[in-house]
Amino acid sequence: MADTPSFKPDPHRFEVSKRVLWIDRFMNSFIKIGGVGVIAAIFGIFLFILAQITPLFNGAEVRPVGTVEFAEGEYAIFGIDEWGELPFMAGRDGVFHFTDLEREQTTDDEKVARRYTVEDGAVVVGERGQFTRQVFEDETYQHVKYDSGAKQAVFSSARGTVRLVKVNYRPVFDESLRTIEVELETESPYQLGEAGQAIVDVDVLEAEDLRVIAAVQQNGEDSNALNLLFFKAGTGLFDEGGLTLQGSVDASGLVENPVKVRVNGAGDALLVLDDQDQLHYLRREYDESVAGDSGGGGLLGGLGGEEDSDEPKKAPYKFVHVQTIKPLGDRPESKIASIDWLFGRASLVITGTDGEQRIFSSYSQKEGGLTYAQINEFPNLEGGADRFDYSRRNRGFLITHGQNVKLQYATTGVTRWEDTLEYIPQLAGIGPKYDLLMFSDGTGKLNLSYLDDPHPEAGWKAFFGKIWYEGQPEPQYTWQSTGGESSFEPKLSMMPLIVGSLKGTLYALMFAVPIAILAGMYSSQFLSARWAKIIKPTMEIMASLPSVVLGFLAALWLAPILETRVPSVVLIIVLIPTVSVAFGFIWSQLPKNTRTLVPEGAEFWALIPVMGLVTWIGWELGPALEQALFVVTDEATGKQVADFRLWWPEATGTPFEQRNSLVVGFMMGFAVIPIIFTIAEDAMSNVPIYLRSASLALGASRWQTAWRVVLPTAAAGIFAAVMIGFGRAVGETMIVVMATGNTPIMEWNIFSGMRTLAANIAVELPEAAQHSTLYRALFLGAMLLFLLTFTVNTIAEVIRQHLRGKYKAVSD
Amino acid sequence: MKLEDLKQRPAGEPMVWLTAMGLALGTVMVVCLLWVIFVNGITVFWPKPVYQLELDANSTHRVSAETNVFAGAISMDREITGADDGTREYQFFVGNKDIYGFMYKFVPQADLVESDRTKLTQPKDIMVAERLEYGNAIFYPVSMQLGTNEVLRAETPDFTTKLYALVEECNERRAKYTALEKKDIGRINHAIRKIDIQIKALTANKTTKEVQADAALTAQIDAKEKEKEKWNAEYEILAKQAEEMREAQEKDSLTYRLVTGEEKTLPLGDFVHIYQPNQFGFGDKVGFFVSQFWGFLSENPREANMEGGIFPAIFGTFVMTVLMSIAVMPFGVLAAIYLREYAKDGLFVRGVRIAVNNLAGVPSIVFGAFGVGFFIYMAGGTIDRLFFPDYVASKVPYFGTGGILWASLTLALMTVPVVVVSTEEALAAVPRAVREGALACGASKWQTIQRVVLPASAPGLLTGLILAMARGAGEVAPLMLVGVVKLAPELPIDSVAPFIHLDYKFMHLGFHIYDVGFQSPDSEAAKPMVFATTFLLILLVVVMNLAAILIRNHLKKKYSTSAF
Repeated sequence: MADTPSFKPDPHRFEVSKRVLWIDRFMNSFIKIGGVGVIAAIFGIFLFILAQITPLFNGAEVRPVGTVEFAEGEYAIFGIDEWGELPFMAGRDGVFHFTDLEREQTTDDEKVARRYTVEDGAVVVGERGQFTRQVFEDETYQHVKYDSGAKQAVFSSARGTVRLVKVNYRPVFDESLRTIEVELETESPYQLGEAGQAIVDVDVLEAEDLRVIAAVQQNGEDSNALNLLFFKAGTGLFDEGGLTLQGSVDASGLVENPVKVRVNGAGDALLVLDDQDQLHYLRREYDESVAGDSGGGGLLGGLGGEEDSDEPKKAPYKFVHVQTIKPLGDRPESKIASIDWLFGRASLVITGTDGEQRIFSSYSQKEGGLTYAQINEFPNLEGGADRFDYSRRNRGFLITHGQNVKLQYATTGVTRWEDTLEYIPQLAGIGPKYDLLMFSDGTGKLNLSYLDDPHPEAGWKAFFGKIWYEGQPEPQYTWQSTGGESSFEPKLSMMPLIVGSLKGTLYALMFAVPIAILAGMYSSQFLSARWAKIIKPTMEIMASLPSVVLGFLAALWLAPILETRVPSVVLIIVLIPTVSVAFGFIWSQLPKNTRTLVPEGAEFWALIPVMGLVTWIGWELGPALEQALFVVTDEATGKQVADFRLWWPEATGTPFEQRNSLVVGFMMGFAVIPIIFTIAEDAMSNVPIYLRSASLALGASRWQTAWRVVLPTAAAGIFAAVMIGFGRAVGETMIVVMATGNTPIMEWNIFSGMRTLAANIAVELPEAAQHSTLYRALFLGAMLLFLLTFTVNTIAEVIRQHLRGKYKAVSD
Repeated sequence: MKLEDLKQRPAGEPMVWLTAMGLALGTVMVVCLLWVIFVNGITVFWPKPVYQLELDANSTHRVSAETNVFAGAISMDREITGADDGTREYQFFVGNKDIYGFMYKFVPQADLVESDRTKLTQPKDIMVAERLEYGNAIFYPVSMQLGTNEVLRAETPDFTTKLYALVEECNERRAKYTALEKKDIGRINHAIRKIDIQIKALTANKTTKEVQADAALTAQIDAKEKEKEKWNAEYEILAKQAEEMREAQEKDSLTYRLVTGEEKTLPLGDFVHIYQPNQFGFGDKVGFFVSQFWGFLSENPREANMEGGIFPAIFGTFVMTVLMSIAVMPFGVLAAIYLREYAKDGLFVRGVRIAVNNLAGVPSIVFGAFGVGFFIYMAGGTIDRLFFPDYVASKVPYFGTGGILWASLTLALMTVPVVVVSTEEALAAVPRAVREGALACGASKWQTIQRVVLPASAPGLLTGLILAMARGAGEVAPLMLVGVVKLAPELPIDSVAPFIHLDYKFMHLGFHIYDVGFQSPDSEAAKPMVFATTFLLILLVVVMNLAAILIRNHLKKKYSTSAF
């Protein structure tokens, strides 16, 4: 018996194996970390998009680099090449001083910030060192100014001559090493007006195929003279390709006492300031008398040998006075201090002695012809502008008064950057790539600063405010991200896109909400359980139809059908509900044994043939309705034509397009119906059964129960359903991309298209360069969509949860 | 009387009928839409009879300037728009785009000669040919040139059998050389491209002089160049083989005459399929239908995607969906298990749940934009900088551009909420008693989840996955931004190492619909193709959704009966 097995229990039998515990502990933390991680990652989307758009709302950053020392002297102009390597300063004597800045060659693309070698705040001069070039020796000119856009210095003299000096920068590639070379190019001086008339003010337009020199000149004791020289692209016999002198135009007399003159970008308008602070807009017109005078000799006139050989040729133009503007008319004590063009020579910056800064721009009027008006105004400076320069990339400009400097953006009216320098800048300029600022006290010290302002055209006002763009008659909301010309200003207003999104959504909901809610009500209250089993999955399949399919059908199948049959569609939309109700009424009046042919809960089957018939009737009657109501007179033939497509624009003044909001609303409604249906149905069928039973027991009919008891109880849930439908429709992309013309317009016309936020991203993001303003603006659109749908859905979800709680409370 | 009336006629019956209208309208519209797609999609492959017709002498709808006669298959039969008397017009598919310049022609019924208006003539021996270029041709054969001197007239008794056999032979040869070009030559091109990028990276940022001065570098480059030579030599051999086969395609040719009189001679290698639709019996038609449909599924697209098959699009959609599922499943399930089993139910978790739920409602294009910014530029750019400096140096982005990996991840992110929500539902449906039973038996928490809860909720997980896949397969807007292309030269999975190319761009059924329907030069000619593709996509999505619904219903039943 001694070896009877002892039944001493294993003391460890209730212990869990270590391995299980370890795994359990590991899985515990793994799932927690993983779960939280996944959820955090999902919300990372929001943060990422936020990070993409924040730079849009930042101001400019300016960082001083150092000082470049030029030889001591009096300098009147300065400039720099596009690569920021070879700045120059020059005086009125025509001696150009260049300094070669050493630069570390960077491997990445040019966006990488340049790195000058800086020692003790001075930029070290590179291998080629400093050199000077003298382009003329004939005389010293009275004034000189430098147009950094055309890279051309304009010297003007007291004799009435103008000399142009072009600073041609050229990159020279030795394999991958790049250096900048410079060449100064000048022509012999041009005489304006009569010799000896000192030039007061001069403006030169230098375009590819056109050059206009306009000058205000002293004319003895009476009123100043206004003279112009026109050059045009090489039609001359000996000078193919270059600009040749076309002739002079004397525009004196149109404006009394001109003081300043500016030529616009097309060379067809002059803006002349008189001594009364009035700005005159003179339009260039073709002068037949001059053209007739020179006759056949017009081309060859310059060859000389004729009797008027010492008389300068006349260009076949004359000027007409169009408009007088008083830029500072409301400020009588202030005088105009400066007028300067912005990039593109369509807008003027006018400053007053009291510090006013106003932007004037031209636009075409409805009646035809250009006119100038103030489009923007900045807060006052301390006084009039001393120095001015404009950006060659955008509508930014640099303005100084005393020691104060400001970098402004004309379109949005925003000050990008401002500072007070330690000295009074005699020269101030923006680098050609809008990445450098240059200041000099005029004695030979050139101070360079990096300018980091990647998105000057962005900002709250640009995205959400009305902006008066160049060439537009009034402030507008416009989306137009790309344009043909280099001086095009991108217009990035979100408003047309938001309106487009809401428009599409509105029409979709107008179509979808009634159908979906009615269907939901029928399905939850009246439909027999047998059919519900088939109907609900059908609706769910409808929800899963890819939107690209709906878009394709909308554009290539539905749009062509609807285009010619709008009256039929209108008729069908009206007929179907009325006939359904009428049919229901008649049916309920029938004797009982007839009525039982259609059992309760199967009415919709009976309706299908009725609706088919009604649709057919509506379809066939449509043309007759068109004949009766939508008749227009064809202007060409005078015949009466019954065509809704012609009638609509005539009656409403809004266009009729084949791919319009009706088509989009119909197809997008299609995408939204099942969503609203499912949620609304859910809300109504979850209404506690005894509420319905009580109502029915009290003698209410099934409709009265549904209308008075179920609907009010489930109203919040139905509202939530509509909101979720809204969320889906607002972000729908493919249907809109395919079924509309994608034109960003701000109108609610049902027969025109639109561009939505979502479609805009799909259309433009593939072409947008990373981190460009457009790229970030598209992310702003994405953010708006995200916020909109997220907020709407959250509200809807909270309502639904609240409702669920309420039902629970009722049933407890 | 009054009471009776009340009993018989309950109030508001017409309004009930109005709500019935809503439901009827909704269901009828879905059915109609599916029907339109089905009919238009399926009839693309059904052979249509070809008619030979004559126009009135003064008709302005001539197909050819020379004659009033023409041949074609009816593709549309409709009432003339604006006509009140119900006169009809036909749209004929006349083919022969190389000669006529168009493929479709509208002809009013009234323009046909008297005899043709009532009965359209179907010539027995007219032939339709699918060609590699210019779409279909409709013609009468004249003769076949075999080799250089043998000519076989169309009147010869075994002409058609011989013709079909030779076309079949050409097809086989074409399959051979395309395989050669795609597989072997593709592999070589791949290798050469890689070497080129390495060479470019070696010489980047250096001047020729510097490179020449650096002996080690020159040696390296020479070695690479030698390697390239070797590949090139191999390429030459294969290219020659392919070229020989291509030449063989030109050996025999067919001369045919159009109904309108023009004659043309084409090498047999240019034909894909020749048939005589007017001689088809029902069996032939079915056979033709099946072979056409199979061709559509298995072939590569031709002629700007407007002809041929859509195999690369099907394959691309499939691979992308699978990759997406692999990415979405673990993360979605993980998050759901955390939310349902681990997190303490409170305001925070409720908030997270609502937010995750609502993320499913955020527009897909927002995810697309995120994919571009985050995956392509940020993640892709970083990967390129860290691991593929060669590509960065030669300015060819490797992962820093759209590709199937980024597309899958973008869609995975978009569908995570779908999976989370349905997994949570499935976990919640597992009765509490089952859990408690497991715990009472001594199982740890993870063991309970792993062995009891997850298996019980597997069908729910599957439902979530299927729903996510259906959504992913049908989504186009975000894909347009992150790597879908209209024509991908190579499939994302092939026989060239590393076999799965996550960086490749790919084709997609949904994008194919958009591209062919909207970007092709001739949208009328592209319509059948688009409808067929649409049909396929709808079939895919509907089947997936039906499966999900069935599984869910099954699940519901299971738990409603097995409740404790």
